[in-house]
Amino acid sequence: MNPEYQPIQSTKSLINASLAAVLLAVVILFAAVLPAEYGIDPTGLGKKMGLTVLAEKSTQIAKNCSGITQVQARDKATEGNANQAQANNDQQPNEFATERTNTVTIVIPPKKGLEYKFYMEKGYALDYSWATDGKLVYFDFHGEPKGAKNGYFKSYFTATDSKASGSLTTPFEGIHGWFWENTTDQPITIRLNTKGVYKVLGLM
Amino acid sequence: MQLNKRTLILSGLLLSLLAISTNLFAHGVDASTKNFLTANQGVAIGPFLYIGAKHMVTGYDHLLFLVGVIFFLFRVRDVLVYVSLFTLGHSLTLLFGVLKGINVNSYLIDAIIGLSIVYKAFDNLGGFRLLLGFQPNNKVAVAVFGLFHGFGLATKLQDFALPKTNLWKNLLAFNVGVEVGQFVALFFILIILGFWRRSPSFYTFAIATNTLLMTGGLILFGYQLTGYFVYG
Repeated sequence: MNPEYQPIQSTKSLINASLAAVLLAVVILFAAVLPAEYGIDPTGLGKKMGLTVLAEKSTQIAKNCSGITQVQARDKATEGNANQAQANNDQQPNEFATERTNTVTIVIPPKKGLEYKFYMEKGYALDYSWATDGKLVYFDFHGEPKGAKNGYFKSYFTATDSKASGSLTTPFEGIHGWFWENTTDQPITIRLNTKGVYKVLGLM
Repeated sequence: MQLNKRTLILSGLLLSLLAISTNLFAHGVDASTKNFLTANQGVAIGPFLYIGAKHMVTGYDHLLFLVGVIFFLFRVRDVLVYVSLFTLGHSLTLLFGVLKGINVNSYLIDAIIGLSIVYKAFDNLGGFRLLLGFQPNNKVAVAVFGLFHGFGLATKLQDFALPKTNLWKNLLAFNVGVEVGQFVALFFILIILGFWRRSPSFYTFAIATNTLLMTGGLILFGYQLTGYFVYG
């Protein structure tokens, strides 16, 4: 540092500058930043200026689409991915009885397979549609009843295609979802849209 | 008078640049970068270089700190020394943090980065010399805050479950990218500061600028700390 260039302020101007900085920061934080970013609005100014809408929107997106999450897996049981899928779940309240809509983009690495699952109660409808970027994948749409032993599962639909859509009424309470297998040498991206009363379990 | 006008235009330009980058870069990395990071499988030197550089150029917290650090550095040699210390600090924790998988809460780290801006602005106002009666070692302070900035970078990069194989190659590319970005950002900051220093308004507005810098740091601090208590 070159002290010869740096003017030394008087104590008074230092105190004034510091107080001004703190005051300005507090005002901007409580009037604008906190209402807009987190919906925390102790002064009510954020609401008056319409800023809390921003926070509402961002939390709503987090609830409904789980942020249009990008998830991918190198391997079915890779820890990192399990964490990632878990993190997505944590962001949304997973109570039943509310219908939710989700869109998720899943990348299947070359020569790998992976599963994306939902937990559902019996007799509820799962509306779904998914499509790859045009490439064909082998898929198995299936369900595992709650408490099923020895890896029992029931297949609803198995085929090789680049897309599928429909509605499933769950025949039992348990885990329902897809297994996709990428047999090509290129990663395949799948975009999955779902609507129903479920709990997202995500990648498995 | 004309010089003052030019200064005003230049400082306005700097402020609007900062404002734009705030919009571009709300927190961490943007959606398409995130898209790439999560889908990436192997070695990708080019993209990681670019992401690192982009993070630095558009990361307003790092930029504000750099403005604070070089505000009263007039000699190129001093700028180089301080920036090297900052680079050493953040490279150490970036490499160490990612390779060892150390994940510090990003809200807390970003809050500390906010405080680093407050510290430097307060220091530029001569606050520590008045308060403590002596000047705390600036070189040590810049290196230590560099360590925190590096942990911030490491935490952001680790949010994406990077592939373990060849991790160090991508990491090194990211780190080099950060330095390239820092160099580019520094280049523009120095040009603007250089112009500004020629006019007397630099000293007239030195207090105001550092007060605003402190304000920015405090806002970042409050913003991130609230985030920690809400989502952390």
